[in-house]
Amino acid sequence: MKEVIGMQVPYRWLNEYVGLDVSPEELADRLTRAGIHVDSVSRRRAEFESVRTGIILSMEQADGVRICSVNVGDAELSIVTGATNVQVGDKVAVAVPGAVLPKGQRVETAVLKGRKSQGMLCCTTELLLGEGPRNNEGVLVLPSDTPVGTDVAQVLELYDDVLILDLTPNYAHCQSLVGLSWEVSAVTGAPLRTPPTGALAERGGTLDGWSTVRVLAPDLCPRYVLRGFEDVTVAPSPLWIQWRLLLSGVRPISNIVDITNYVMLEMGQPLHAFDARRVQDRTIIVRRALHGEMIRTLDGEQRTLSDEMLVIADSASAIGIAGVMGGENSEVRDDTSSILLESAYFLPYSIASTSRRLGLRTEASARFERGVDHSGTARAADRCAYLVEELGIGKVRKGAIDVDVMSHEPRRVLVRPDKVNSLLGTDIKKAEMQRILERLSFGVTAVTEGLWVEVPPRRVDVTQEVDVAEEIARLWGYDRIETTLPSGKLTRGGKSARRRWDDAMRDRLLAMGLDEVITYSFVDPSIADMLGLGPDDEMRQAIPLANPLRHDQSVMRTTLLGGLLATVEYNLKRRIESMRFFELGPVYKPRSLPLSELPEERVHVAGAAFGPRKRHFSEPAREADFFEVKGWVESLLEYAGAKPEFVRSGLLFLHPGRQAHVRVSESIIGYLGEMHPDVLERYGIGTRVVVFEVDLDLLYLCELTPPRYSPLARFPAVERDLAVIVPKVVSAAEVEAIIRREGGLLLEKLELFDVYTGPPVPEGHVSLAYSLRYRSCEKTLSDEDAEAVQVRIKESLIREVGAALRS
Amino acid sequence: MMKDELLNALECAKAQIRASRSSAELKEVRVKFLGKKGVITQALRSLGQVPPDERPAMGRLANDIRESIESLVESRENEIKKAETEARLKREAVDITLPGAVPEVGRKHLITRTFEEIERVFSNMGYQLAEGPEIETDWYNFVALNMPKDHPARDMQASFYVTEDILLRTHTSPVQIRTMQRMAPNLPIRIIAPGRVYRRDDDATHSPMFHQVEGLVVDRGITFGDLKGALLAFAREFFGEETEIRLRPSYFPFTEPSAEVDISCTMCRGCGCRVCKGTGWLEILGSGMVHPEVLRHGGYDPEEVSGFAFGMGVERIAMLKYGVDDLRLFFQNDKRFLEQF
Repeated sequence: MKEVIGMQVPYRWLNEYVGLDVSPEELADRLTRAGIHVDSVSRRRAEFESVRTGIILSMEQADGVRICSVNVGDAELSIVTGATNVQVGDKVAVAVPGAVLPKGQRVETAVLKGRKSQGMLCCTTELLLGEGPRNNEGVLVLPSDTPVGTDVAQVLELYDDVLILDLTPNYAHCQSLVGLSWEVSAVTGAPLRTPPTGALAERGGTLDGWSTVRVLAPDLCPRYVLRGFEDVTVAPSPLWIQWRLLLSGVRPISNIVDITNYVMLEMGQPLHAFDARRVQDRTIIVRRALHGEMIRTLDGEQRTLSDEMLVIADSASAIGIAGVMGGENSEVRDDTSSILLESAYFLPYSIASTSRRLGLRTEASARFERGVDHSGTARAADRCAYLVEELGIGKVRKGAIDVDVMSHEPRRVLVRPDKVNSLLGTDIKKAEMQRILERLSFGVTAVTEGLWVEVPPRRVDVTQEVDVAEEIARLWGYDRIETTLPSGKLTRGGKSARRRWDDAMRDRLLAMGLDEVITYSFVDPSIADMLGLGPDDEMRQAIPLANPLRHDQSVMRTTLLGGLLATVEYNLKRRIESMRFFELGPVYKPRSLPLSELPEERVHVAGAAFGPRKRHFSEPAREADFFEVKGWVESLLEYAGAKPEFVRSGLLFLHPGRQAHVRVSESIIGYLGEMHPDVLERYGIGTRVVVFEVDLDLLYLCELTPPRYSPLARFPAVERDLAVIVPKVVSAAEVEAIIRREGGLLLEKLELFDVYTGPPVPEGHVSLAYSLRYRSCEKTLSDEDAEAVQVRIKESLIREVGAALRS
Repeated sequence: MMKDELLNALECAKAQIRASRSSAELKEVRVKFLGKKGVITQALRSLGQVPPDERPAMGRLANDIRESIESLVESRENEIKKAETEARLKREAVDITLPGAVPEVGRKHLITRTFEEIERVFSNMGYQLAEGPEIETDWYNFVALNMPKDHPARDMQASFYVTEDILLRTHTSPVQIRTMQRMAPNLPIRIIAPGRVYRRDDDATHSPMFHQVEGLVVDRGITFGDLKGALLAFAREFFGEETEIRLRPSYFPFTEPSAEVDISCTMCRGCGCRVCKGTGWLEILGSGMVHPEVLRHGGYDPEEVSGFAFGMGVERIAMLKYGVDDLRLFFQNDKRFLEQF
C-alpha cells in the first residue's frame, strides 16, 4: 500500500533555509518518526577524478586554437583549447592526463592540430554531465583567489548528502525545500532562515499592455501570475545551480529553464517560461482545450486533448498543457531574447485527471495535483525575476500581471483538546497542543471551547479537527502514546459456520494426501477453446477485465480447472512426475454480461492427480486413474454427510468413457473424470490427468446428514460371498441396488472385492464378486436364515439383469 | 524281565528324545513310546501277566517311566520351540535403515496457513471474521473510503476495472464499510476480513493478485493507544513474545491519524541485518484511526464513536515468518515449494 513521491533533498542546500545542527542521518530518523519518510541518505560527490585547479601562465594562438601553459601545482602542462573566454592569469579546471570525467571518459595526453595537449581545460557541462560544451559555453573560469593545484571538487564543494524522501500524498508541502524546512524546524527546533533576496530593479519596459492575460476557465485556474523578461541571453547556468539541480534529480538545460526549476524545487511552485516572440500577440489565454485539439509537447510527442483538459493558449493556438507540460511551439531556445514567465494555481483534480488521461507525469503535475501554496504564486514569480537580475540573464519588465479570483481567507479549524485526547488516548495539555501547532507555524488562538487553529495555506491536507489531531500526535510522538487494549462489551471471536465448513472440507482433502494450491483468479480467455467447450457452455460466460495486464490474465475464472491444468503443466516441465493437489477458492459468475451489477462469487473445490502414487518401495505404484479421484470425491462427500450418486455425463473436455456427474439430492454439484487426450495435447501434457470439481455453495444447500450414533451389534454376523456374471451394459450400481433391496435390513455390509472379464466369463460380460455380511439386531442368524436371503438375491439378479451365477 | 524291558525302554526314549531335532521328530518319538501302541503303553496293558505280588511295584515303575518320558518330551519340545522361534526371528530381521511407509498427508498452502495463524490470534481477542465481494463497486472500494474520483491517493492503488463503476477490489478495506452498514447502529464492531485483492502491478515485489487481512474495531471511546495495544498483542502472539513494534506517522485516505507499523526484525532481533536493511525494523502493516468521513459512510456518528483499522499483506507476513525470498513462489505451486510447509 505504498505510492509515494520520491524527492531528493540536498542537505547543504536545505541548510540555507533552516539551520541544521544534526547530522543527515539523525535528521532522516527524526523526520521519519514525524511521518516524512526518509528512505535513505545518499553521499554524493561530483563524478570526475583528477581534475585540478590551475593558472594560465602564458598563451599563444595558432591555427584557431590556443596553446596554454598551465601550472597545476606540481607541474606545468601545455594544453590546447578551442575556448575563447580565457586569458593569462585565469584560474581554470584542468583535467590532467589520467583524469576521468562523468560517463567514464578518460583524458590523456593527445595531439590536437599537430600540437601535443597534456590534458584539457574543462567547462561546466564536461565536469557535471561528461558532455561537450553547449552553445555559448566557454571554459569554467574560477574565482581569482582559488588556490592552484587542488581538487576542483573540493574547491567548488561538489559534495553533499542527499536525503531520499518517500512522501505520502498528504505531504504536498514537503515537495519543496522551503516547505520541508518548516517541518525540519518543527521537529528539531532549529531556526528558519530566509534565503538572500532583495528588491527587484525591474529595468525593462512595462509588462502590462505589452502582454495580456485572459483566464477563460477561472474554475480550473483561479490564479495566474505573469512576469516578463527582456534582453535575455540564453546560456548554461552557473555551476552551483546546475549542481543543485543535479543533486535534486533535475537535468540542467539552460539558465532560464534551470532557474524556473530551481524556484520550483525551492518553493514548490512550478513555473513555466514561454518564448515571448513565439506567443502570438503576447496574449496568454487560459481555457479548456477544444475536443480533439492537438499539441506537440516539449518531449516531442504529438498529443490529442479533450475538452475537460486545461490549456495555455495564445491568440492562435495552444502553447502548453496547463500544469503538465509546455508546447514545443513556444519553447525557450538558444536564441530566445524575451520571456513570459507563468506562475499559476491550477485545481489539483483537473491536473491529476489530465495527467492520468495523457499518461504524462512531470515534476510540475506531481506538485499541482497535490496542491501548491496559493499564497505563494506571485512570490515564486518574483523570486525567479530576482534570479534573472542576480545572475545577469536579462532585464525584468516592470510589474506583474496577477489574475486572482481565489479566496485567500485563511482556513480555520476549531480543535477541542478533550476530543483530541479521547481519540489519541492521551492527556496532552491544551497549552502543549498550542505549542506544538505553533512550532508548525499554525496560528493558534485559545478560546474556552478549545483552540482556534489557522492553517497555513501550504498545508492543503489539513481541513478538519482530526487532521490537526494527527499533527499533534506525530509531533508529540507516536511512541509516547500509551499502549492500551480496547475495553467495552465482550465479543465472540471466530468465523461463520459456512467458513468453518469450508475449512473442514479443506482439512479432509489434506488428510487424503492432497497438497493445496492457490492460483490466480484471472485466467486466459482461450481456456474455453483449449477445453473444447461448446459455444453455449456456461463456463464461457467469463467476466472480462477492461484493462488487463496480460492476455493470459484477462478474464475472471468460471472454473478452477484452468489453474489445475496450469499447475500440472508447470510441474511436469520441472520434471515432477507425479502430484495430487486441490484448490479451494472463488469462481465468478456474472448475472448478465456486460456486468450491470456485482456478479456471484461461488466457492468451488477442485483437484487433480497425475503420475504414479507409491507409498513404499515394497508396494506396487498406482497410476492416477478415475477410481482414485472418485475415491476422493466419495470420501469428501461422505465427510460432508452427503449421499452422492455418480451418473454418466457428456462433458467435452473429459474422456467420454471415464467421466461422471456428481449428483446429491437430485442436483448436479460437480463432475469428475479423466481429461480428454485432445485437451491434454493442447496443453502439451503428456500424461493422464484425472480431475474433479465440486461447487461447495451448491453442496452446502443439499441435505447433509451429520454423523449419528447407532448401537454396536450384539449378535454375531454371517459372512457370504456372491459372484455374478452380468452383461457389460449392466452397471455395478444396478447390481448393488438389487442386492441391497433384497438384502433388506439384514444386509449389514456389501463390498465389491473383484471385477473380472476374460475367460471363462463370456464375451461382453463381466464378473462381479461381492462379500456380504448379514446380521440381525434381534437374534443370532442361522446359516439357513442367511441362505434364504442369498437365494432371493440370486433370483432377482437372474430375473432382472440376466445374471449368471458363479460358484 | 519286564522291569528290564521298561528300564531299557526309558534309556532308549531318553536317547531318542535328545536326538530329536524338530517338533515332528519329537512327536514320533512320543508316539513310539507313549502312543496307543507305544512300548510303555503296551507294558502297562500287559501288567495282568505279571505275578500279583509284583504288580503294584511294576505298575508304579511303568507309570514313573511314562511320566519321566512325558516330562523329557515336554522339556525337549520347549527347547526345540525356542530354537525354532529364535531361528525364525533371526531369519525375519530387516534392514531398519530402509525407509518407512510414510502416510501421505497433504500440505496446506502457506497463504492458508498464514491466514489461519492470523485469524486465530484475532479470533482469541474476540474478532469475528467478515467478508465482502472481490469484484466490488467503485463506491465501496474508493468513494466510501474517502477517495472520491481523481483523488491523488487512487494512484496508490492501480486498479483492474471491469466496467467504469465495477473493479477488482484493490484492498480488503471495502469490508469495513459493508460491515459497518450491516451492523449500524450496534456496537461494538470487532472484525477481521481476510481475502484476495488485486492491483495492476507485476514485478519482482508485486503480484497482480495477493492477499490481505483487514481489521476494524468501532466502539465508544476507542483510542490510538488501543490500536497500539491490539497490534502489539498481535505482533507478540504471531512473531514471538520478545517482538517490539514501532508506529510511524503515515498517510491513508481512510484513516486519520495514520500509522505505518514496524516490528523488530525477526531475523536479527533488531540488531540490523540484510533483511531489515540494517534498520532493525520491518514494515508489516498500515493502520490508523477510522476517518470521520468513513464512519459516516458506514452509518455511525464520528462525534459518538471512534474506531481503528489496519490492513496487512499476507504474502509479506508469510515471507517474513518463513523466510520465503521470492513472491512468485506463492502462485507457481511448484510441488517442491508446497511440500516444505
